[in-house]
Amino acid sequence: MLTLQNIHINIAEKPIINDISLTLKNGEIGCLLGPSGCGKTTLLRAIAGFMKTSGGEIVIRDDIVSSPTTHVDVTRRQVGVVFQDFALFPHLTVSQNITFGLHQLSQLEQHQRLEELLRLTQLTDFAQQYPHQLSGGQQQRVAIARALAPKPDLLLLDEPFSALDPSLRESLALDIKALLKYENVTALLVTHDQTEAFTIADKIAVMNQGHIEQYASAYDLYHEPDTFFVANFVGEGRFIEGTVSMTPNAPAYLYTAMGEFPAHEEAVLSPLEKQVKLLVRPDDFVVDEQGGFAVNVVSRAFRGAHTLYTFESVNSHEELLCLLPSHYDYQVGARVGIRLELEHVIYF
Amino acid sequence: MAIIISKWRELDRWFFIGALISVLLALPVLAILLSYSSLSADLWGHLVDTTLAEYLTNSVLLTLGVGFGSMLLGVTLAWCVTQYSFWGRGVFEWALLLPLAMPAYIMAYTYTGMFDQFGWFDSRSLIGAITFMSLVLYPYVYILAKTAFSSQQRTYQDAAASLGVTHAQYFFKIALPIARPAVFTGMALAMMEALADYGTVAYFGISTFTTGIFRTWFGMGEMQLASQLAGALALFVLLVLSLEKYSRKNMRFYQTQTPAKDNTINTYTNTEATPFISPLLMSVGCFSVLAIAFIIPVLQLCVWAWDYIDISMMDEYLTLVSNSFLLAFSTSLLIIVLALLLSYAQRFSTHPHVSGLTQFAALGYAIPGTVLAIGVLQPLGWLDEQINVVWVFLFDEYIGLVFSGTFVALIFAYCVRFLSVALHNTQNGLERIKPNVDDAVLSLGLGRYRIFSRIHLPLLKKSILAAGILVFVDVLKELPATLILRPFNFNTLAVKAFEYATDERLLAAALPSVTIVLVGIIPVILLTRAMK
Repeated sequence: MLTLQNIHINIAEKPIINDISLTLKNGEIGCLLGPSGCGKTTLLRAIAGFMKTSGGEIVIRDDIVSSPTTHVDVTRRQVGVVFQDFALFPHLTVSQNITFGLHQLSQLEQHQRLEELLRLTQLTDFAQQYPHQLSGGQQQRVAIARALAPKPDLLLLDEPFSALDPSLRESLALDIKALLKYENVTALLVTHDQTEAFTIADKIAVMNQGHIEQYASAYDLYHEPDTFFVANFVGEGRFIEGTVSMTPNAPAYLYTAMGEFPAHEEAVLSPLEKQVKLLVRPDDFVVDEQGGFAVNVVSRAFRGAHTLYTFESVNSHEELLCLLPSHYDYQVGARVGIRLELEHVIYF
Repeated sequence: MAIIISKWRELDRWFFIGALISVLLALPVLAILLSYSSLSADLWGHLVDTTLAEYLTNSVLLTLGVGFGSMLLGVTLAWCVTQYSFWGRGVFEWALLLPLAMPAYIMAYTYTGMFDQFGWFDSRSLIGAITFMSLVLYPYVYILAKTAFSSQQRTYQDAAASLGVTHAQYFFKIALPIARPAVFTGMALAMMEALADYGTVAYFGISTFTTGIFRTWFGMGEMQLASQLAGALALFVLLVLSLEKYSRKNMRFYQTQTPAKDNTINTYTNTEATPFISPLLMSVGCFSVLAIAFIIPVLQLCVWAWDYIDISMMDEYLTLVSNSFLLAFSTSLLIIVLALLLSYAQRFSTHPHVSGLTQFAALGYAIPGTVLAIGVLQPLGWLDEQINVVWVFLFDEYIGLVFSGTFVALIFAYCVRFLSVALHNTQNGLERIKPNVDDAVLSLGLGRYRIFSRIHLPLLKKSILAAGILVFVDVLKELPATLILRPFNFNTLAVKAFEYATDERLLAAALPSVTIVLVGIIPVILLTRAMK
């Protein structure tokens, strides 16, 4: 449905987007995740047609809409856009906002589509109200209904939850995911909040300084990050120093202050050692008072079912984040024995 | 307990001061209302038979025409300037306000004189009056529409575009409807000016309410009928005013949305918006309006003034300047004091009606100068009569006119009309000083007077200065009330310019006119500064 091929975008001679390629299949929900300033909104605006690309091709359906030689105007791309501030027209009612893009349809068709969308977004009771009379969550649903009304094949959402109360975001994200799946619309969402991305997206592109670091499912990003940036940006965790020792025709090993682990096989001609950083997630630990490594409790944050501890390794003085069931109750300054249980050995 | 009592008395004193000023300033309006106590069927019958219909149609056509004309110019120019980049945009953005410095009557006789000079055509008509007034009054719409357009969220445009709406459709479906309250307010201001205009219609010989009031008062000597006509005109103004209020009431929420943070990417799109008029045409259009409404008439006036300086003595001109400036300056001072007193009444008094009171006092700006003059003359004339009766009884001699026909009447009228201009500034200035600043000063052991001299006055300096300049220029430009109320043989720049022009002595009229226009530029510059 959407294909980006080697997209480059410069603003005022400055490269903002650098060689980005990505595809979204029909009905898939994709996400551009990255820190602010990484270029994710710029890319979204280029796909919508608000700005021209400097190189590469954007293909929507089977049509090239942006390339060095073509630029289909935003008004003719038939792409729905949901804006960060919702951009609801303040002088129009909810109904008028939703039917705004339906000017080509007959009155009857407009009405049918409106009724359907009001029902899907649970806004039927608010049809005659003005945007300023609605709550943030309701405004967001109007914005999405308005964008979906002309049945676009592709829906673009720019930070759709950032204007909302954080406590509502997750449940709203689930509602919206259900709505998008029901309408079977292909969607691409931009966010800097990974919880949102994880909740709503099938595939997530982690962006950094104008390029994509990794394009994968949430599970893979968390457990098998491709790059140091992704490992650091996605989820919580700390890195500890390690040494990978490789010898020809023998398994490689990673040695750290917290024990040794099997390393990735690499063909080497002569014995080789290299310094690496090992990713340690807070859920990679188990308590082992006898055989474990000694750590000191630096601080603790109670989170109900679990407690998040910050430890300092007694040997190497490295900082560790560790999520333990809250029935383990260690005070700051206490000494604990822990062991690493790594399902995925990720190091860079 | 003692503190509470003394505090209560202090607050009440402020309310008393505010009420006193408001009632005083409302006297002329009350006088107009009182004039309806006896209606002469004969006179009104005669009026209805003869000229009333003409007054009515001309005034209504003039008002609607000016409203429409200034809307057309103001909205178009504001849209171009806020949406597109074209050659000279940065200059036009503020320069398009300059026609505000040009009183309509000066505009009218300058062009009429030019046309006569070249023998092109006679612009002495209703259409001519509408055109000239629209050309100098459109800035009211322009400045408000410009603010409205530029404060609209940029994402509206993007949202509309993503829903398949072109830029031209966007203007009519989104931008204009959202800006409607602002545009209405601008139109209402322009229409009120048009209703109040005396100079232009008198010069063109068009019968409207204002010229009718003059004719009834001075020509026919029917003072009560003139008052009643003035009352009818005031009713029209009230109608425009309440229409404007009503239109805003329903649409207040438009402005309540907080505008989106301006980020560079959005402004980037903005310059990419494809205009439905070519950029060259926009430059030419903006320049034409500016040239016609300001540059050409000012240059013409300068040429005439230059020619006139050769053939006349400067004495008369210098007297005019000193008369006008002194009058405008002393009026400004008085009005600033009144405005400050009212603003402080509103700040310190806890009386529930105090803000209604100040709003009431500010209503004078809506009253046309002609109406106001009549309204001032009646109570003051009555007062003079009573004083003389008493004086004769006591000293057996007449002392003549004490209030009417003196500066008291004139300055009183100015106060009623221009107080709101100053009040607006002082109120805003005072509101910006948070009440806890006062509390902080009091807690440091300084008295109330110190709050004013050490904290408020320095902070209010700019507001007071702005208020003073605005009132000064307004007084300088004011024509109809000055014409009626000025003391015998006392002339101002505006009065003399108008009298010369009516006598078709355009060269003589040019020098005072150009003085008024040039001084009038100062508040326009202030306005453009405030816009940034």
